[in-house]
Amino acid sequence: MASSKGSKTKGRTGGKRAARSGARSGKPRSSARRGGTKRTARRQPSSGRTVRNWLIRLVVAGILIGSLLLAGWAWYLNERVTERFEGALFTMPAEIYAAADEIYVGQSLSIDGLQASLDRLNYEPADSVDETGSYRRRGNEVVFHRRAFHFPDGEQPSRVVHARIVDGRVAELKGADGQSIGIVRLEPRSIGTLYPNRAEDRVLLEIDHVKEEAPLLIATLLAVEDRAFYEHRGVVPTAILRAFLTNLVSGERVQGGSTITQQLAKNLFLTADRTYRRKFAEMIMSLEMEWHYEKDKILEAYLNEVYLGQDGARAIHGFGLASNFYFGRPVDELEPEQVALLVGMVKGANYYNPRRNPERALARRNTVIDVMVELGLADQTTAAEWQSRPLGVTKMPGSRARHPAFVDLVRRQLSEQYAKEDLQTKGLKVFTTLRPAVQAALEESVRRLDEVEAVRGLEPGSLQTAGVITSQATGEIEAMIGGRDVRFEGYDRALDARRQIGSLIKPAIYLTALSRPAEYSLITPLADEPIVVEQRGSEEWKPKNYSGEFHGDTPLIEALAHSRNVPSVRLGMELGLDAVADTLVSLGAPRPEPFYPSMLLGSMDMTPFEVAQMYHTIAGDGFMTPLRAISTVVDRDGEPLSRYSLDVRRAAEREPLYLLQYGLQTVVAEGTSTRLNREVSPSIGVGGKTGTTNDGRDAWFAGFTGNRVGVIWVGRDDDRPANLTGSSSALPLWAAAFASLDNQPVNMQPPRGVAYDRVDEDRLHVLPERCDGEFLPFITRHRPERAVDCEGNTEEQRGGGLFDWFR
Amino acid sequence: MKTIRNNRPLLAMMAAGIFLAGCAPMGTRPTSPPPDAEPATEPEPEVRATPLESRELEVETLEEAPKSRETPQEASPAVLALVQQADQRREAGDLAGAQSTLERAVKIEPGNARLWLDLAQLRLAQDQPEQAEQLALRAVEHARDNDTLSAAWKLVAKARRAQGDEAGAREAEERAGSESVSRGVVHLPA
Repeated sequence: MASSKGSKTKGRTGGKRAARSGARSGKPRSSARRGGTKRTARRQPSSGRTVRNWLIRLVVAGILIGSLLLAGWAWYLNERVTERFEGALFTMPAEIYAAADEIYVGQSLSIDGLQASLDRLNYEPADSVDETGSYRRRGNEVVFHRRAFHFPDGEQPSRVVHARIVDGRVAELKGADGQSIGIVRLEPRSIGTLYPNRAEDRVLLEIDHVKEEAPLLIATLLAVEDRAFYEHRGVVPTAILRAFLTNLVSGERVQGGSTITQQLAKNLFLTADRTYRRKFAEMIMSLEMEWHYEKDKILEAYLNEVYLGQDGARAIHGFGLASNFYFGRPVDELEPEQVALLVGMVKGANYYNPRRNPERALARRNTVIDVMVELGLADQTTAAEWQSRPLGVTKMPGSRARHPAFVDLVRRQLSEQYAKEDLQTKGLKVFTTLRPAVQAALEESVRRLDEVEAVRGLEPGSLQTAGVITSQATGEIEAMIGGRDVRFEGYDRALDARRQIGSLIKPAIYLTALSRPAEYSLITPLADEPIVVEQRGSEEWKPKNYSGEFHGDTPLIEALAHSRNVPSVRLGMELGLDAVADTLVSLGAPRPEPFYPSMLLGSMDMTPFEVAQMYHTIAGDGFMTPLRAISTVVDRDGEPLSRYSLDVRRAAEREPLYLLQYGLQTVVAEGTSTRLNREVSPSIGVGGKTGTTNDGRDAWFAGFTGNRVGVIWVGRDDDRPANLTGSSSALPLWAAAFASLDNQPVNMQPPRGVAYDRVDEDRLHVLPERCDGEFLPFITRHRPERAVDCEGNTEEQRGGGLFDWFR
Repeated sequence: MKTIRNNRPLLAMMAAGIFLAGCAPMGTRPTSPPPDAEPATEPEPEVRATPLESRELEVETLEEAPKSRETPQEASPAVLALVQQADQRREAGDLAGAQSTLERAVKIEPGNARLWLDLAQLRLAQDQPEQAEQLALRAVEHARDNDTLSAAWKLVAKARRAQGDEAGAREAEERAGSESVSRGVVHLPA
């Protein structure tokens, strides 16, 4: 019965498709008509009995109406099939990639560091590196078979690379042919989609690629699910009949007899209800799909659609994503037994979930391997060896919702340029600047908060944090966290927490001063004496130092290094608030409006991200680079849509900036941040600044090495007093993050126009060249006049002048 | 005063490192980052990683430091490979591809003036004279030999002219002719 209806349907469908393909439509329709004629003929002998006649007419009318309805339904189903297949079969949220790791000769990279890079991409250690995604480490050499990848700037083929690492430095890179290579780029790691919580997610596979690279997957799938796939026309009537009879006998509606096509029809268009009506629709649609489309197209859709598990709210669809989700690698790198497991899971992805039900999954996998033997895909011995292997599933699911704070930033930057709809559905690929190793270090650093809370006597878990690390050379954001729970998607403090910055503002004051080299140098004495500042509309303000003491004349460099409040306020007032505000803006910070004198001590709000922009400029060579999280966006086919290029803007004169950087290094060398030297080698010459706000509500540390700039904020969400200081509470996190990074020393080669000179012990006078003493940098054209002796006395102080000297 | 006639950036960097090491409060003001102008065929990391503190050495090498400014920068094999690739792309008309390749290189050697100069040229070719000017100014900042310095100022002039800033262009041209990298020789104690 089912089959006869099936064929009729097919005919009707053909008829309704007349507009689409007229030639094919005629024949099936006439056969349907013939069916009607036969029945009419049967009416002849019993023409005398009117009642029976009526009944028969009724039946015929019923059948006709039924056929019409059926035809209409089939037409409707057909429209749904073609509509779906003609368009993009699957909508895909934009996929996000981290920056690709580069390996180059001369690079500072340990052998463990290289291995970690490969491990993050799920390269497998192996004796032979014939397969992509495998590597071999022996002594100081690592050989790996890099995977091919389609970068926005072109296709990069797979390649075997020999890397020799000596003393933490890449000494040599060679290809398989022994040819030396200057630089090798690994493929970038996917860090998830732009909308990771969407119900559906995929890693699209192309049928030709799978046929070529993972033929076993297709062979096994067809062996288990549909051996006659390439012969049937969508449905196999005998199989359906058998299933139908079995169901009748058992009294249950067991699923069965479904071809790959039918399964696809069900998955794509229908609900999971086990009703005859649904089953019927499934068959009609299967026939329609086969009518319109090639087998391969159907198989490809199936490979990408089949349901293979659940990750919270997210359904795992398709072998591409499943392979990533369970094994952390692409399908073409799966071992045979892993292929068997995935294929086995088609029958019931949750029932055979290898993470939750490993025993069931193992049994199912081994059954599939038996089927492989049965069909000659493997011999007995090999199969037995496969069956003895463990499941090989990664412990943690290949999560696609990594680094939510960073993804949040990417989403915001993209939504300025793209429609949300496109970002959710068009399968764009977004290449970002995130560096997995740096991100891991930053995420790891939040553990220090436990210690901070213990040391500062705070309730465990009461503190929050945010952090940003950028690449010094290019302004690329390499890492970002938006809170203590680095997996939490929600309040992104790095972008949204506007907090007072405290002393982090001071470098802007000192840079303003140093930019007037005729008036200020690193040794200009600043008065650290009580001061009263009048503020319009509020009480008189009497700023105090953190220590509560006054120190008298203090050289500028020490006022900065020890973060003295009083001389900083005096200096800021002397320079003028507008001048300081201008410096802030040129460094890339938002303009404080209105700018009250109290803001000279940082009673202004900024987000950690904004602070990172400002300190990025401070750490640089005088050029401001807008911080970037995205480098390129390409469409589904790899065609570039937008590039975010490296833009720079002149922000400060190099010479005064150099003096400021020297001052910020002094902060770490002898000022408020000396504790950093315990964790990050002093030879790096870190420059930085602490920030603390009233009642210890906010703790900041912003600092730079030769290759990175980092900002850490620590505080409470409710902005209550928390007994924090920059050096005790934020600096430890910064140190933890940077201690595990490949830090380059700060480049302190003086720019043209800066020279070093000796100064006296009090750092108030430049000494004659013959004297011993500490070297400090000065802007050559405006170097303060030298003292006359090695004690730093000036002519007048010596009273007698030069004559005394000769006496 | 001795001079270095040929390309010996390593020695110069050592000198700078030693010199700076001597004057820092902690004795550890570091040198420039390793890959910078460093022929990677002869890496001597231990020299660069640990600045020396010995006074004798300091004096000996200090004399040579100022000349480092006139030493042309030598790129590492990685950067050379990338520059070559960028050139090929540019010649093939793929300016965006050339640009992203150069950006990879500049990540490795941010202090290499030649790379900033090439980036500036690309932006000018892409009709973005404002960015070209800024990038060329950055090349000026990092130039360590007179040829590069002069080329950088010439490009600044070109970019300014493209923006209609004739006065600025002339000023840059003047500097291209007159300015020299040894202008601000590090002042060294005798």
